[in-house]
Amino acid sequence: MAEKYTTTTTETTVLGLFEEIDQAAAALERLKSERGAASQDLMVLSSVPFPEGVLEADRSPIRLPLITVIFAVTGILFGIALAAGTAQLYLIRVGGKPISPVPPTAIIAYEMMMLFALSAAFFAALFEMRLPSWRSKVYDPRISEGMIGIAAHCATEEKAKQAEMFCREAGAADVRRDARSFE
Amino acid sequence: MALIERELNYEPPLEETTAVAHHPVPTPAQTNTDLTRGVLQTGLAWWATLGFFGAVFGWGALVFAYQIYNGMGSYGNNRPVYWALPIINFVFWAGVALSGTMISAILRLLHAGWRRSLTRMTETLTVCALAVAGVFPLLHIGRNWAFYWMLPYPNERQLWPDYKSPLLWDATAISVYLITSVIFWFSGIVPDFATLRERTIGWRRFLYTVLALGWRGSDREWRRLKVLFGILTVMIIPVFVSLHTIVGWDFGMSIVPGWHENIFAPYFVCGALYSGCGAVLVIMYFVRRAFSLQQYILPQHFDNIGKLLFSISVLWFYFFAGDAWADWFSRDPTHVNWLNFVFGGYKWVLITIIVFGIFVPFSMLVFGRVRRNPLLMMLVGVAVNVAMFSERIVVVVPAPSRDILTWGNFTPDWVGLSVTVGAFGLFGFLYTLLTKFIPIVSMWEYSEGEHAEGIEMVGGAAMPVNVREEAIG
Repeated sequence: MAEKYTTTTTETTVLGLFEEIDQAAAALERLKSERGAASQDLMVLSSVPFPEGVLEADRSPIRLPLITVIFAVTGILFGIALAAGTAQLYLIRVGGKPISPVPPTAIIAYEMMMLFALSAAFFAALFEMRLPSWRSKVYDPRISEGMIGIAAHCATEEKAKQAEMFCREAGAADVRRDARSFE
Repeated sequence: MALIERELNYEPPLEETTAVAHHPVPTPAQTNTDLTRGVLQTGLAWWATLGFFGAVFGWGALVFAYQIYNGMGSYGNNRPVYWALPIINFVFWAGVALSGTMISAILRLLHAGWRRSLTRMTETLTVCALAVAGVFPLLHIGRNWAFYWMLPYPNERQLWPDYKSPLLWDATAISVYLITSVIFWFSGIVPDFATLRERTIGWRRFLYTVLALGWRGSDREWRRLKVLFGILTVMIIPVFVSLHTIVGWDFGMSIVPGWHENIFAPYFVCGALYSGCGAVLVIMYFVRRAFSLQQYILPQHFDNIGKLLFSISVLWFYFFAGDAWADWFSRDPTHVNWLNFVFGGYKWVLITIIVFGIFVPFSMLVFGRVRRNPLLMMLVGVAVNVAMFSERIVVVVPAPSRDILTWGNFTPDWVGLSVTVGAFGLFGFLYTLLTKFIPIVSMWEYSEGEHAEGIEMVGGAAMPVNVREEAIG
């Protein structure tokens, strides 16, 4: 069973740095299967994204499409209220046209739908990524230069030693402990 | 001339003619070093470029101050041509802005591998051009200091924006496009800000630490960035189509003969694509030269954009000719009068459109050798934009020149021309400045492509192979 995340002083993170994808994948697989680590205790760090399904430890659900749809509908309602609703409050009669005609209302509703949907997708993505966060966290500058990091959050010394061993046996270029925040 | 001759005789080596690199695949560290050089090393040429564009922009700003003091008449705008250079500039720059995000979004949607070297510079083009476009409606309103009266907020004057006016749709659309383009642009830079954070010290490190938002490149972050880009890419395409549709409706919704045209919405979208693609070629050429990115921006990229430009040029010609053809064949007196005017007093503008917008691209873009020549493609890009600026003149000016009560030709004066030149200065200034703070080729996307591409021998020939970006099934 995976160790539950705690804030005791014994907890640490083992960070294995790999030069090759296959080595990193082997270490990740052993950490998952033999150690039985939960997905929230494992993390892959890299400077480039990999194709879908490659080197993925994170299994958390992504709700961005749903949030985008919800805010798109909100944007439509806001646009209708802005163009048609406020026109009823400030009556401006122009060229015999209705106070709240459909075409202008549809255009403003469309633009607001896009604005709300895209802005919401962006902010929701940041929220789900847990960004912005300027706290010091587990990382190594070599990752931004092309190395692949496999981080295993360990609650006990025994688990940490085991994770170090898995990383070294998979061919890690470097394995080190990092006491900074895991997430 | 010697430069053009040399470029014409240039035979690109084999590795430059294909998007698949025949050279050893650079490591991400090498890629980062190459692509951050422009950010981390500041040469005299960069300062000179910034100073030049700054001076041009400064002149335009000074003349604008003169215009505020002396009134809109100093612009040359007068009865019956109230919309002239400010709106010509607005439509032109909004058009230039369109293609940057379009090329990036459509190529991302199609998973075109060669997009990786171009996305950042085209998205930056959009952001800078939109910033310039947004200035002109404010310049145009005359009492510039009261611009906030256009905003919907409760006030003691009991004034409220009239949402029945296409001008307000326009203001809304350009604001939405600017915000969403900045989101699209910034989302892609965050991972590169994190790389710069690790490569810098002092104030730059602080700056990039803030801008990177704490990005580490975890699989949690990459998964969400991919989904975010999927959403942004799909949704920003209708946003930029809507922007130029609404710009077309600024004219089409009026009852002025020559403006009241059903075809204007798609015609404006197509014209914007045309000038924007031309601008992309110009930017590609100068960025490639200025930052020595010959290894990253290949002749194949110019070839591909050239093919796109050619197909758009044919489509644009269809709209251009179709608009004039319907006016002429209908024998509607108001439209025929307008055509007479275009072929008469503004014939030199029309000839400019035909030469630079039709003859030059049609005669050059059909040749693969020309399309793979960066200098010639840059010149085609400039020609297309000269033509499209002229096309905006033909759209904006002649139609209102024959009012029922007043007739008058528009002649630009030094104030309007100076502000127009200042706009080019502002664009150049913004773009040059941004190249100092962001890698103008996306480092993570380029490295991702290097991982995903390779060469396999098939039947004795070296064939490029790509890893699909998404899992099957």
